[in-house]
Amino acid sequence: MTPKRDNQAASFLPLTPAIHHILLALADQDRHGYAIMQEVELLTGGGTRMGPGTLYGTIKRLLASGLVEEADQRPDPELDDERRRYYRITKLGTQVLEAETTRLATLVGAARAKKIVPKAKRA
Amino acid sequence: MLIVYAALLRLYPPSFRRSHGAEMVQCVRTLAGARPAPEVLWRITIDLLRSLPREWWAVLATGRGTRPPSPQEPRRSGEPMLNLWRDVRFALRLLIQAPTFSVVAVMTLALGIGANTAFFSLADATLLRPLKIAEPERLAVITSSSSFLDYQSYAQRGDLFTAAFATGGGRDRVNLRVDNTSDLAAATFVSGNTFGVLGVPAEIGRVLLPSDDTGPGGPISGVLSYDFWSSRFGRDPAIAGRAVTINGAPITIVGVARRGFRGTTLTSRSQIYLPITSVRQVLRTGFFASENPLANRGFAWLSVVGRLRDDVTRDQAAHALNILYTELHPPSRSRSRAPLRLEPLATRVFDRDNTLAIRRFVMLLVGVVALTLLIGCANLANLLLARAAARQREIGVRRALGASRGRLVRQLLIESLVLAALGGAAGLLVAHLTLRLLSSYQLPGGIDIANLGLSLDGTAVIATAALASLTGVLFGLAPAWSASGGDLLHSLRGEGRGSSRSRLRGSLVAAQIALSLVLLAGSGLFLRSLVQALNVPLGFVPDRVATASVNLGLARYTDARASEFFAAALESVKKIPGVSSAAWGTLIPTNGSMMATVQIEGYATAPDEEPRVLLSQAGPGYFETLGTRILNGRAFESADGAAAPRVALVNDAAARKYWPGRSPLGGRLKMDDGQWITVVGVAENSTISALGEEPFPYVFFPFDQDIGFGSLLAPAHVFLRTTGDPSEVLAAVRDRLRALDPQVPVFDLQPLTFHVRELVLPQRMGSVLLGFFSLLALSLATIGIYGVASYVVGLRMREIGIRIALGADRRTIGRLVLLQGSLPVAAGIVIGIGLALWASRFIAALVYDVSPWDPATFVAVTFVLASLALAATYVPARRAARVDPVTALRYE
Repeated sequence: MTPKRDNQAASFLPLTPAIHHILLALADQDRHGYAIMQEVELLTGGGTRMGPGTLYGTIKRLLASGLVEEADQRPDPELDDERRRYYRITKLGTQVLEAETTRLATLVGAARAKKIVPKAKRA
Repeated sequence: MLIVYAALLRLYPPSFRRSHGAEMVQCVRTLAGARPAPEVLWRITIDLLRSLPREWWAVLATGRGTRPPSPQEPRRSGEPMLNLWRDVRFALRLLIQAPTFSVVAVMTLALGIGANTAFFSLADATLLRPLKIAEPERLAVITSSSSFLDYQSYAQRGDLFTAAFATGGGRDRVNLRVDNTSDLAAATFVSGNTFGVLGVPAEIGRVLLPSDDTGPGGPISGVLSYDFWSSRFGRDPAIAGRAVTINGAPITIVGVARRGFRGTTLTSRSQIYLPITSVRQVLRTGFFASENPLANRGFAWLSVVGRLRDDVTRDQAAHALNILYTELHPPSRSRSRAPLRLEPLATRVFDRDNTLAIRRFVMLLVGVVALTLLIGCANLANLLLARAAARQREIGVRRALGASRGRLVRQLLIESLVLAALGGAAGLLVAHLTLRLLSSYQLPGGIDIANLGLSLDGTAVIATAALASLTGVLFGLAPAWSASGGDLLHSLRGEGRGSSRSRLRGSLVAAQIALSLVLLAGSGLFLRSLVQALNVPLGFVPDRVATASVNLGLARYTDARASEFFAAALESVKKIPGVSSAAWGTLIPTNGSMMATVQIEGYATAPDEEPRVLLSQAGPGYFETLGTRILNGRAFESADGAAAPRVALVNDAAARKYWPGRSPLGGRLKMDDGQWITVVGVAENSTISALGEEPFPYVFFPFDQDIGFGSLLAPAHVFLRTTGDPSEVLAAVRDRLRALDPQVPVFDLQPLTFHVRELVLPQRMGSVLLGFFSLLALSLATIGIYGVASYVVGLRMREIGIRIALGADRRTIGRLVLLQGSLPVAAGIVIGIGLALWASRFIAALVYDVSPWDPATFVAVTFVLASLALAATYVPARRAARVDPVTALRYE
């Protein structure tokens, strides 16, 4: 990673929860809108339930700033014949996600050191 | 649901809708298939509210609308702000140019926002958060009274309560002497921990503490209420440590309770809080004189409130208390008792009788102002649409000159927001004035609204302002919508798509008419009820009667001295200029009564029947002064003194019930003391506590004859019939009574009509407030109807001109316009009648002697609305009929 790129990724931090969640949802595979919604709900243990407006509003911003790009349209396996747009995280997007994770890990570490965060509950 | 959602998508900026709209609908379709409908609805609603403003902001902040700002691209700082300021100034200039529109729109907003905020504050103070104390939800009150010993046993139950306190005697008036002047004050006796459990701190000094529960004979501490400290002591900062006497007992004021604290109920107006343990030294009359209220387990006079432990429910605690009660009071054969119950303290803040009435009343008020707000919003929408039509050409020109759609939307949005901001500011003023106005009224049950300490609620201000602004924004954007609708030429010529817009305006008018009709019908019902109520014969004539009250018991009088005082006082007040007659009595009519069981000679009681009568005492001249007619026999005379034979008057109801078919004159009755009392007269029935009540048997006894039931040392009232305005003699009455003995507390100096007014309070307040708001609604609706009709005429000017040029009859044209203008009115009236019939059930409990479906009211209201609507359409219709074809054809 060149320092310049690092700076570029850092300029996005901190991420809003919506952006963070969507990037995380796309981190392992390309998904269409509804699948992102489902994945976000799963990731947050049902705590975050996005609506379509928030979802696509955020996607629009992510597309514009180059963190996410459109993948090919594919038929939706759940619905016959419906073609859906799939979204994919870009290289820059991955870097941003990594930077944010590092930032949060530092904070969590600091909190642990001050005995604020409980150790993980029973595994 | 999908169709609705697809329609709602139109609320988003078009660029956003184009790029993602289809996907969003698809997303919702999948979601709707996977989740229960309510959840989906909820989620979509929240989502719309969250994302709409953001997307619009993204469009407007850049003014271009296609691309959101990306982090890589530095924002052009300064320039957008400059544009914003320019737009605001432009918007203000436009508003000044159209003063009628601006004034009406701002006033509509202001009244809607202001009235709603004010009444929401009232609802908040009475229904939502009546008690300004810590964690009120864990506080439970025992519904029946307890003795002091019982209270101590309950308070020891640490397994049920974290703490318990007791209060008693909230209505006891005591004689407070400060530096040689006597005042009557309302004292409440509380256990020393009360303030601590309620979490109420002191404003200055300290509150009562458990250590203040000293034994008899110890020093007594007292705490003042904030209001009493203000009104009686002028917020004297050196109040703590001040020595006063209460009913002769020395008290040290130790502090003032926090502002806003009014005890555990809204009905008590406690001015001084004293420790329960001081009750024997302070209250030395009645039961408190004969019994030791602290040592008698059977003497229940305290209300006990406990803070429940988190792991104990109300029912569990009540069950445990009942077991305890049975241990403490072994059941006896003669008395059965209702089990103890626990209720949340918050449900008991009003008298039990009044809770429902107050709840209904406040809900009614809130409903009425909410309706007004809706009407206001509809009107605002209508105004903005009319303006949009007028500006179509202007906007067409701007577009033709190259203004982008985003830029136009932004301009119009700012205009709407400026309007909303002005309306909001004026609304705050209206809210403030409304609160001031409300403070001079009372709630049912005689609760002064001024005592509730109403203040504007921030949330309510924001919520109503948001609703009004949203209306402004939605309809303010209309011209941008239609202007960008494509055909630039049409908008330049001023031939916009009129028909769909006039349909929208028609429905807005119909909605306004319908809602106005609901309000108008409501106020009509209240008004009829008020007239009805004022015409009910009261059994006395309250006009031109003044009353004043004294309490000799509080000044430590003996019976003999009391008789002298009453005689001297009567002589003195009779000499006041403008007083034509005067008399003493023990009860103020309409303020309720005392009840007793009597024995009536010659009246055969049914098994289990105990003849009950209401009673009071009346001096010579009482019936003459009050204007109560004597139907038979004689009134009391000065000869009916303490030593004279015992006599009584009965009312018509008692005569009919206990002496059926014969004259009660010469009949005899007997009270607890066993002496026979002869009936010497029959008085007409009079109102005792409520209008239209069933007359109840009532017996009057001479003021000077001891009936062993309420003595000369209880409060007594002097009644004065005046030749002029009764309130003019009140000051003189106070002076003369004070002059006789400055130690005697004189209070409640009022015209008698003041007490009667309380009887018709709901009707009065209902007709005044509903009347005000329905007039407001009516004028808004009229403006709306006129606006639509003239708009339609304006739109069709060219067509009308052509028709006339081709030979159409002018009267037919006028009729056509009139007919078209009347359609939404007729629809509104039909819907409104339906709504009003449904809604009138909510005021059924508040109107007296009028059916909530009173046909006369509904016919009258419909007539008023219809004729106003006709008048409002007539003017534009006339204009249409008089159109000069040549001008009309040139008209653009």
